[in-house]
Amino acid sequence: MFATAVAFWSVSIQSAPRSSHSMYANPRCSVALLLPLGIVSVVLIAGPACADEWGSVKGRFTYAGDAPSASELKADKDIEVCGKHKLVSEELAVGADRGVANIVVFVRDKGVKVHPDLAATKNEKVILDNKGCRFEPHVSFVQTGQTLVIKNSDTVGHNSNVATIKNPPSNSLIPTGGETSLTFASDEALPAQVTCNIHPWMKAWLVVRPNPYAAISKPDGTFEIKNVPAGEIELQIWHEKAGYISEVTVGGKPEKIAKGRKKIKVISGDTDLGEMAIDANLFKK
Amino acid sequence: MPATEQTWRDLKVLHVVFSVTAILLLLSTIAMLAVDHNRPWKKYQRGFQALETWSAAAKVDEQDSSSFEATSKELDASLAKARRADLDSGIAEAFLTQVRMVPADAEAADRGQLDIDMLRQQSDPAERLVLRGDLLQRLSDIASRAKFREDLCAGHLKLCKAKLDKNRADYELGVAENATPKALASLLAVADATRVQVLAATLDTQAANTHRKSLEATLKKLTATEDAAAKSLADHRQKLLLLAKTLKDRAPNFGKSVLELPVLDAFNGPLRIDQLWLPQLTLNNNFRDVARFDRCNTCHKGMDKSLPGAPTEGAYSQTETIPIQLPTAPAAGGGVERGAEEGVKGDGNDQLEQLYGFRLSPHGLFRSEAPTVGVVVPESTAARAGLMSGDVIMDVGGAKTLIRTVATTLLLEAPQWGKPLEIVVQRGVPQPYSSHPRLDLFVGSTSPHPMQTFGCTICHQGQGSATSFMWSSHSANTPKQGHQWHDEHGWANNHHWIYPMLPQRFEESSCLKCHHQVVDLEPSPQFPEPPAPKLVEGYHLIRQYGCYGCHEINGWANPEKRIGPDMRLAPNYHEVAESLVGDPGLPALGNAVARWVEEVRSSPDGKEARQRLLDTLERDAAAGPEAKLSRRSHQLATLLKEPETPGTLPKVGPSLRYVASKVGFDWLYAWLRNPQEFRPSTKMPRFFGLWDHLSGKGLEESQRYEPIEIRSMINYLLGSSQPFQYVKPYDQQRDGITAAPDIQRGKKVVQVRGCLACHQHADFPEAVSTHGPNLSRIGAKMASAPNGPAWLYSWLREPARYHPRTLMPNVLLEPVSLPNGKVSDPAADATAYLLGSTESWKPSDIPAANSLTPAERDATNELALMYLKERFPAVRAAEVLKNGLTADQSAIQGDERMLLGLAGSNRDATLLNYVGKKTIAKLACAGCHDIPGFEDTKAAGAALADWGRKESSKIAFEQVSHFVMHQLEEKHGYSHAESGHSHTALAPRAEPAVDAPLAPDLAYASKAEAHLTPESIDSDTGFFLEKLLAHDREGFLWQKLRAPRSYDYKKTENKTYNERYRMPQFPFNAEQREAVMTFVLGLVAEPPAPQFIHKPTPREEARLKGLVVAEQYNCSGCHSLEMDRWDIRYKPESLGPAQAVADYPFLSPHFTAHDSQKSLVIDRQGRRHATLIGMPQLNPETGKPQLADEDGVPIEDGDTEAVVHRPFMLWQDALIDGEARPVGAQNLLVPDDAFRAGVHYPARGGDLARLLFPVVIADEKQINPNVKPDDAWGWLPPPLVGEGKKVQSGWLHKFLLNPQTIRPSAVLRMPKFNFQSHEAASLVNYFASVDGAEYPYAYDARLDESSLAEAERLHPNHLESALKIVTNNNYCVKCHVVGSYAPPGNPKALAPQLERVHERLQPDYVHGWIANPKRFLPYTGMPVNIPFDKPVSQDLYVGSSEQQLDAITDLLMHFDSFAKKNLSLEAYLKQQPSAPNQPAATPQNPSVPDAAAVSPPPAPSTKDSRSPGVATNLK
Repeated sequence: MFATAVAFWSVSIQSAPRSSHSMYANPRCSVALLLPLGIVSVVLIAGPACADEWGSVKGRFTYAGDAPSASELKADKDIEVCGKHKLVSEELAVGADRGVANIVVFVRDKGVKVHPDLAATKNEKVILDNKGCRFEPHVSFVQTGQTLVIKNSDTVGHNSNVATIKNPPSNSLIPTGGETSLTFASDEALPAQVTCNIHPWMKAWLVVRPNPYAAISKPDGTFEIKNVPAGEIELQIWHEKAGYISEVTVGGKPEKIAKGRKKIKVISGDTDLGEMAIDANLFKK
Repeated sequence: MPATEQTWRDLKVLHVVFSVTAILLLLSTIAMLAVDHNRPWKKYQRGFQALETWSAAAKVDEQDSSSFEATSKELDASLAKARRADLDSGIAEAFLTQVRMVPADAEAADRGQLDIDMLRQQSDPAERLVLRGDLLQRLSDIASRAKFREDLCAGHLKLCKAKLDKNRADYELGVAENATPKALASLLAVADATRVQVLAATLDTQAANTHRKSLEATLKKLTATEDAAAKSLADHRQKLLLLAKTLKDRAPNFGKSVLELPVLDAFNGPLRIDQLWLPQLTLNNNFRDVARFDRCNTCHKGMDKSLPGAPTEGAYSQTETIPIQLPTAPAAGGGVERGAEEGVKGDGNDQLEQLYGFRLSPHGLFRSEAPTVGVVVPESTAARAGLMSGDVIMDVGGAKTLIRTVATTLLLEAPQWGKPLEIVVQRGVPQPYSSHPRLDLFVGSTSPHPMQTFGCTICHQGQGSATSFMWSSHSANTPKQGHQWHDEHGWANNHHWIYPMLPQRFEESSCLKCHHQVVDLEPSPQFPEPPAPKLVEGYHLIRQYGCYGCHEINGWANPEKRIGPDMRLAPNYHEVAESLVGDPGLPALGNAVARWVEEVRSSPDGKEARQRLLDTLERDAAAGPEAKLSRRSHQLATLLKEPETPGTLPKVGPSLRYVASKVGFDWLYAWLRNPQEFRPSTKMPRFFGLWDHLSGKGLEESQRYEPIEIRSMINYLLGSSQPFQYVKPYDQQRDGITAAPDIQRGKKVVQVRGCLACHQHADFPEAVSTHGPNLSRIGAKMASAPNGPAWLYSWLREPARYHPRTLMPNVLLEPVSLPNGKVSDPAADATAYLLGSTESWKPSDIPAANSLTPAERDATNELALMYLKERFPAVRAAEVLKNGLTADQSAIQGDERMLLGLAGSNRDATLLNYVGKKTIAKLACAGCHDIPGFEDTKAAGAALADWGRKESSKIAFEQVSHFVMHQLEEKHGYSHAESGHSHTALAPRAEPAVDAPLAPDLAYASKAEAHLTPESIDSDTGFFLEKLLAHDREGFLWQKLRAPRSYDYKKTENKTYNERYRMPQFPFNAEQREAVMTFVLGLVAEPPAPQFIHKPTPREEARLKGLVVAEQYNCSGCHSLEMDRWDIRYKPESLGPAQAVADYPFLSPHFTAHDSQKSLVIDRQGRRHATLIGMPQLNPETGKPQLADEDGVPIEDGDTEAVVHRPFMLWQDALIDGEARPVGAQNLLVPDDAFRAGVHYPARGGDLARLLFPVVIADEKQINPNVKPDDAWGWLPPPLVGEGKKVQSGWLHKFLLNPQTIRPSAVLRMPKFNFQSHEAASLVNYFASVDGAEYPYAYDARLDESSLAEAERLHPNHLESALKIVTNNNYCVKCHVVGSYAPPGNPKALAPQLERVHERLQPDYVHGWIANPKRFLPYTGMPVNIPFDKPVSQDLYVGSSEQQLDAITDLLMHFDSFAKKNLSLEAYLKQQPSAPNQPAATPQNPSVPDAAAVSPPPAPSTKDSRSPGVATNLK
C-alpha cells in the first residue's frame, strides 16, 4: 500500500513538468534526477531505476441494482443437439456478489510498448469454439496478426459470421469437427459481433487489438491487464449491452467516463481501479 | 458652232456642289466604317480574346512559378544523378559480347572493354563523367555501325532482287520470242543463280537486323534510368512550352492590332462573324422551310470551350459567388511580423504564395484593379481549399476587398493564425463569355448535341441570324432582368419575331421537339445528373393529375408521323365490357360471350376476345327485334374496334361504376363540393365554389345552382351504380380464423405489408409517397355508406374485383398464425384499423339527402330547363319540363329519355338524375373516372399537341388581366376601393397555398406608384403578369392553371350559366404550375428532320418502356432500381488500405490498368476521385444514414469531436487508390469531407425498404435480441439491381403476373399487380437491358440436359454426390427449404426453396452465388459453404472446391429432372385395368400426376416426397 502511494506521488509530481524535459527518453529517469528524495523510495521498493517499468491494471465491475437473472434462450433448430443444453442469454451475466462478466477493458493507445514476456503471445492461437450451440468463450480477444481458430465441436453445422469493421468481415460454414483460421490486419475500435445465421440465438464478441493489453471481466467481475508499461494510458471500457461504460461509482463517488474512455496512470506494480459499480439503467439499452 | 469657254452650268457652283458631295461621301464612308468598327459583337470578341489571353497567361504563370522551377531543378538533379551513377558493367559487357559476334567489330569491342576497365578504375568524379560519356558514345557508335552494315546489306538485297527481276524477265521474253531450249535453259540457270544470291542476301540482312536490334535494346537497357530522367525533364519543360505557345497565339500582337484598326478592320479583319449553317434543321419562315443560320457564337464565343483534358467541363463557368474557408498557418504572433519571423519574405504576392500558395494577378480580367487570383500552386493550401485561378476575391473575413492592395493586406493581416479564414470569391465570367453548362449533354463535341450539328436556336429559339442583342430576340427571365437589359443593351421585346428565345425558366421546353418519350430525359446511368428536371416533373404531373383526360396530346400527325409526346387515354375497351356486364340481356348470349366480356374486362389489351365480342355485338345488333342486348350496348360496339394509333394512358381517377357499394351521400357531397376539405393532398381538382372572380348576378347564379349540381351528380352516380359482389371474409370454421379483428395488429399490417409504399397516413409521418391517396381519414369516408366497411375489406383483399384495371395491387393478405397460437385475418385487422382512421373528420353542412326545399326545386327546374332548351325549342322545352316525355315520344334518344317517367311520383329524383348526367357531361368527369353511361365520351378540353405554338390572337384573354391586377393589388396593399366581393358559406374561401413567398422586387419600382407593375412584385409573379398583360401564351396558361374560372370575370352577364368556363382548379403550387407550363409550352408539333429525333437503341428503348411501366405501378416504391451513387473526392489513402481477400479467381474484380491509373490521379486540390455505387449504411434504430468515426464506430448524439465518416456498402466493385475494393468485402468508411466535396446521386426507389428497415429490426428484436441489422434487408423488398443477370426472363414474367413466395423470411410478399402480359414483358426486358443481359431469350449450356452427360462421365454420380452435400446436416438444408422439407426454427432464418432454383435463377448466378454469396448480395447472411481453398468433405463429393461448386450448380439447375428420374409410374399403373390403350392419367387426375400417389413411400423426416432424392438423403 505504501509503495503504491509513493509511486502515485512521484508520478503525479513528475507529470507536471514533463513536457519541458522531453529530452529524456524515460520520464521516470527525469524524476530520479529531479527528485532525489523520491527516487530513493522508488528505488527501494520498485527496484532499479531507469529500467522499463511495468504494472498491472486491475479492478472489478459490479452491478448496482438487483442482479437480473439471465433469460433463457429457446433453441428452435437442431433441437436434438441444441435442445440438450440449457441455453441462456449471455448479454448480461451478473454473478454472485454482483460481479459483471464480459466487460471488455483494453488499452486504447496503439503505439504502447509491449512487455517482452507478452511479445510471444502473438504466436499463440486463440480458439473460438462452437460448442453446445453457443460460442465458447462469449468474448474472445485476439491481437492483430494473431491466428483465431474457429472450431466446431458440435455434431451439427454452424457458421460464424464475423462482423468486423476495419477488417474484411467473414462468414464461413464450419462443418462438424471442422475449423477455420482467421487473422486480422487491423485492430478494431470496438469488439466485433460474431453470430451464427443457422442458429440465430448464438452470439459472441471478438476484441481485436494491436497489443496484448486487453482483458475481459471474469464471472466475478474482476479483470486484470498485466505488464502494462508504466505511465499515462487510456483505457476503453465497453460492454455489449451497455455500450460504452459512461459512468461508474467508485467508493460511493460517481465518476463520468466520456465514451468509456478512462485515462489512468499506470505505476509499477498494481494499479487498482477498485470496485466500480455500474448503474443498472446503463444496461437497459 | 465654235467652241466657247462658256459652260452649261456655272463652274463655280459645280465646284461647290462637287466638293460638298465629296465631303459628304467621305464623311458617310467614315461614319460607315466607324459604325462597322463599333459593331456590338466586336466588343464581345475583343473581350473574349482578352479573356483567353488572360487565362493562357495565368496558366503560363502557374507553370512558370517557383514550384515549376523547383520541379525543373529536381528533375535536372535526378538526370545528373542518373548520369553520375555507375553504369551496369554487366550489361555493358553483355553488349560487348554481342558485338564480338561480328568479327569485324571485335577490335571495337576490345576498345570498349578497355573503356569499361578504365571507368572502373577511375575514381575522380569529373573524369568518370567524361569516361562514361566516351564509353556510351563508343557503344552507340558501334550500334550505328551495325545500322550502317544493315543498310548496306539491305541495299545489296535490293540490288539482288532487281537483278532477279531482270533475269526472270529475260527468261519470260525468251519464252515469248520462242528462244531455243538451250538458250532458255541458260537463262533459267542465270535466274536460279540470282535467286540463290537473293536468298543469301535476305539471310544476311535479317541477321544484321537482329544484331542491330539486340545491340540497341541492350544499349537502351544500359541508359534506361538516364533516358527516363531526361524524358521527364523534357516533358516537364514541354508543358510550359506548349502553354507559352498557346499564349503567343492568343496574345495580341502588332500584326493583329494593325488589322483591327478602324477602316482596316472592314477588310478581312481578324474579328469576324461566326456562323453555323444548319441546312437540315430548317426554320419555318412564313410557310417556307429555310436553312437555319445561327450566329450566336459570334458573341458567345466561349460556348463550347472546355478545360484541357476534360471535354465535359466548361472552361469558363458562369459568374457565381462562392464562400471559401482558407486554412491559415498555425503560429503565435500575427500578420506580417509573423511572416518575417517565420522567414516569410518578399513582396505581398510572395508572402501570399508562401502562406497560402497563391498569387494575385497584376491586373484583373474585367476590372483592372480587382484582386484576381492568378497562380494557385497545385496541392497548396489555397488549392485544397478550392481557390482557383481567375477567382476575384470579394471579401476577406467580412471586409470588402475591391482593390488588390486591400485584399493583400487583409489576407496577410486579418487572419487569426491557425484558424480558417472566411473569404468570398466571385468565380466565373459573365455572359456572353461563359461556356455552356452541361457540356456532357449540350454543345460539347462528345455530347449528344454537338454545336456543329445542332446549332443554338433549334433549342433556344430566337433569331439565329441576328448579331445584336436586341434582334436576336433574347427573352428576359424576370422583369428586372428585362429592365437591366434595356438599360445596358437597349433591349426591347421584339414582337415581330415569332420564335423569341425561351426565357431561362422554360428552356427545357424545347427538349420535347425530339424527345417524344420524355422518360428518356430522366436521369440515366449514362447521364446521372437530371438532364431536364423541370420538364420531366411537368410530364409526371400531367400523368398524375390526368390532364390528358380532357386535353388530348396527340403525338401522331398520322400513323407514320410522330410529332411529339403522345399522351392520350387508352381505348375504353374495359369500360365497354363493364357496361356489358350490367346489360341484363348478356346471359342470354351464352357462357362463351360472358367469358369474352370478362376477358376484355380484365385484360383489355388482348385482341382475340375483343374481336369476338365485337362480332357478337354486331351480329346481335343486326338481329333487329330479336336482339338480346340493349341499344346502348350496340352503340358501344364500335368502341371495341382498334384505332390505328391507340392511346396508352389510363384514366387517373378511381372507377365510379360501383360507387354506391363504397360511399354514401354525405361524403360524396362534401367531396364534390371541395375535395381538399376531406383530403388536403388530393389530386382531384376543385369544380365548385370558385367564386373569387364573380359578383352580382353571376355570383348569385353560382350560389343557387352549384349545390343542386352537386346533388344531382350524386343522384346520378348512386343511381346508375352497378351491383357489386363483396369479397366474403375468411370464415371461422372453414379457414380457422380464431382471432377477432384488432386495431393494433391492423396498424402493423398497414405499416409493414406495403401500404406505405404508395399511401400516406398520419400515424406514419415518415411515409411520404403520394402515389396513392392519403389514408388518414379513410374511416370517415367508409362510414358514409352502410356497406363501406365491407367494401374496404373487399378492396384490401381483392382490389381487382372492384376495378380489374386498378393500379392498387393485391397484397395477398392471407390468414396469419399469431405467436399465441391463434389465427388472424390481416385484412380484417387492417380494415378495423383503417375504419378508425378519421382524424375526427365528418362531413358538415350537408343538405338532407332525400328532400328538396322549394327554392332548391326551383333551381333544379331552371337547370333542367337550360339543358332542355339546348335540345328543344323554348316552348317545347318548358312543356317537357312540366309533363315529361310522353310514351309516344319514346323514340327520342339521348339523355332526355331519362325524363320519360317525369310525370310519375318521383319527379324530383328523375329531374335530379337528368341534371346530374348533364352536369357530369358538362364537367367531363368521365375524363378521369369510369362512369356508367359515359363509355363513349370524348375528351372535353382543347387539344394540346401544338399548344406551344398557339397564336396568341386565337387565345381568349377576356377581362382576366383586370382581374389579376385587382387581385394582386389587393394582396400587395394598393388602395383600390373595388374589393367588394362577398363570399358565402357554401364554399369556404380556400385559396390554395400558392404564391407564398411574395417578396416585392422593388429594385426597379416603388410602392409610391399608383399601380402595381410587374416589377413591383416578386420576379416570378412579375414575369407572368407581364406576359399576361402583353397577351402572351405564358401569361394565359399561368392564370388558366391558377384560377381557370377567372376568365369569366365580368363576362357572366353576357353568358348563360352553362356557357361559363368549366375547367376546374388543380391544387398545384407555383413550382408545379411552372413545370406543367414547361411541358405544355414545349408541345409545338414541329419535329425536326427525322435524323434529329431521338431514337434510342433497342436496349435503351427496352429500358425506357420498362421505366414507364415501373413508374406507373410504382415498382420503385418498394424496390431500388438504381443504387446510391457517390462520386467522391477523397484525400489519398484516407479510405484505409485495401485488405486482400482470397477467393475464387472467377470472382475477382476486373479493372483495366488504365482504370487503375486513372484512380491514382490527384487533382489540384490534392484529392483522388472515385465512384461508389451501393447503399449507405443506415442507423438500425432511426433508419437515417449512419455516421461513424474513423474506426467505424457509430457516433453518438452530441459527439461533436469525432471525425465524421459514412460507412458505405458497395454493390459494384470500386477502385480506391488504384486498388480494387470488391463487393461484399468490407464496408468503406468514407470521410464526410470526401462525400461533401463530391456529388451524390440518390438511389432510384427503395423508399419502403428504407422506411421499414428500423421497424422490422425493432420487431424482430422482440423475438431475437441478437438480430443483426444487415439481416433485416433480407426481409424487405430487395433491390433489383442486377436482376437481369440474376433471374431467368421467362420465370420473371410469370412471377410478375402471378407472384409466388420466394423468401420465407420476408415480412411482406410481392403483391399481385394487374399487369397486362405485355407490361410484365416490358419490365422483364427493362431488367435485362439495364444489366446488359441477353433478352428475351438466352441460351445457357448448363440448362441443357445434354451438358450433364459429360459431367457424369467425368464424375460418376455427379448429381447424387452433390445432393449429399445439399442434404448433409452441415450445409444447405440447415436453412433452405428443399422440396417438402422445411428446416425448423424462426422463419426469419429460413432461406428460399431450392427445388425451384432451376426455373428462377440463371446458372452463372447460382454458381457465383454459392462460391461467395456476399459478392452478389453484400448483406446476405448466407455463409461461404465451399471455401475456394478447402473443399467440403470428400465423403460427400470427391473433388476440388470448384468441382463441388459445379456439381451443386448442376444439381440445382436440373433439380426437377433429377427428381423426376426417381419417379415411377408403377404404383400408378397397377391401379389401372389391363386395357392396353388406356392413357396413364384418368380424368380424376390432372395431367401431371399427383406426386404423392406415384412416389416411393415417404421418408420418415418428410411428409411428402415431391423430391424423393432429398427425402432419402435427409435421414
